[in-house]
Amino acid sequence: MCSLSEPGLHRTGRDGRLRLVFRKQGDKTILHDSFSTMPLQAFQPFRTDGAACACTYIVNPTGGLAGGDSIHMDITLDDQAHALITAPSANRLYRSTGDFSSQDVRIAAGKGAAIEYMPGYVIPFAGSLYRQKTRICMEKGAAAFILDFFTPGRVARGEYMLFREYRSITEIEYCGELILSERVVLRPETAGYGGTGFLESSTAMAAIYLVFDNPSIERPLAGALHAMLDGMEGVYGGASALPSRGVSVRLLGEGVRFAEKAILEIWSAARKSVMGTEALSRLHWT
Amino acid sequence: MDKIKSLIGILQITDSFFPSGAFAYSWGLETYVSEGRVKDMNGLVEFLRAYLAGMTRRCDALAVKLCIEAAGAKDVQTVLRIDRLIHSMKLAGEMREGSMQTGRQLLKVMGLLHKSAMPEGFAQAVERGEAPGHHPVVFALVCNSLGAARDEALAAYLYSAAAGIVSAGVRLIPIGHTEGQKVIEDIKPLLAGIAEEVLSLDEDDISAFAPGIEIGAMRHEHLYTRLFRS
Repeated sequence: MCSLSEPGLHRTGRDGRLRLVFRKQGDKTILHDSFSTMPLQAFQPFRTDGAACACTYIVNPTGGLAGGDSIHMDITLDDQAHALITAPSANRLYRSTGDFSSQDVRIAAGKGAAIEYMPGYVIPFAGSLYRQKTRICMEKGAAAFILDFFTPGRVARGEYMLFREYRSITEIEYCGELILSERVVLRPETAGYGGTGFLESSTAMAAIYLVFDNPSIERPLAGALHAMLDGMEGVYGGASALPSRGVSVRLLGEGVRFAEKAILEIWSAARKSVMGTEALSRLHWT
Repeated sequence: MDKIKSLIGILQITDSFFPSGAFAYSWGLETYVSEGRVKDMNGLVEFLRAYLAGMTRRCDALAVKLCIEAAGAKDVQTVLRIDRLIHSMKLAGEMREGSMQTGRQLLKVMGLLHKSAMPEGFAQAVERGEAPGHHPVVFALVCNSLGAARDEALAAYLYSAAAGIVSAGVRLIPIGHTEGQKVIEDIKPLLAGIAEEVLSLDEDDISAFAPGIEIGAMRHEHLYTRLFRS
């Protein structure tokens, strides 16, 4: 199991800390323990698909992160617990005068636990500096659905890749073995990322990592998700089996709404196939 | 004399005649051509620039640099760690398999020819299934065993990566061999720039970003007709 960071001294409203601990109790998952400091808050869990899964929103009342802001989230699922963590809105990254804003998320999923981590999309404003790290440590039999959803800026007002630097690392460990890494460093001033091979002129990009311990359905699921993506309007995407234990999906959207629709359909299909649970009726931040 | 010997060794392993299987892979280009996203020489140049800048520069090329330095220091643990990291970053299955298959083939052939010079521990780890044996990692180890200088090995790796894509483009688009050489000529400043940049980077800088190409590689798994293995 990952060692989780301890909340330390903080600058009010600038260094946000959040700790959530979910536990299986009878046939349902409960929020056993929680702690947060501004600008992070978590809602009381609600349920969308019966008693099994506890859903909660993580909110940032300030609407986004300014240069120098630093948030840390530790989410623990005890054995057999099932939680869906989402957000009611996009994560805005404001222009910085020199300091990076940062987000550090650590998720520990115990034996047989299931975590669905579905944050809102990131909007890096012109001039923003940002780094994020998301680390998921899974124990035997655990499942994790993780979304990484990115837009190149406030496209509607003509901002396209005008941020200064965007760094993102996502790492997933299964029983101590590193099975997936996504490491991205974007500096638009030094390179173009909009054209062939990169964003292909799209205005939304998403990666969905579906990690689970059922090798027999990896390739069929990848094939089914590929077929779904092929028939969707406004998205260009693909799906492929991971080196072990899961499937990754990547898609580019001609707009956030096309990408959201695709994410909802992909997520719902994977949910049914892997977890045997109901499809999501909607994305919670829309 | 040793420098000439090592140069001949590098030319041997980057030659299309060398049976690494590298020229059976298009690394996503076949999908781009099949879907009409790359139609001519200019399209090939754009694809190649994205491949080198997004997939190669801070990932495979940096792995070559780091592993040849580690091999020089007999640091097998660093080589194994970078091999596993590269493995975990290749999310398109055919790209991952292609990198492993060409790496293992290079290891196998050169292991027959230079077994005593291969770093202890790595080949055995690959045989035991403890290391994936990705191509840039094996390439670096082989270059080290041949006595090649780091900078020359890096330049050779970048050139062979570019030549592999151009070779696939010549067959797929198709374009003539002279046009293919024009593409290589056009891309040479980028190769030199990448080599120079990579020399200043370290393990924390390993990253990749070419979502279009990665999607192309994922979609290649489902193409109805295929000339290439990726």
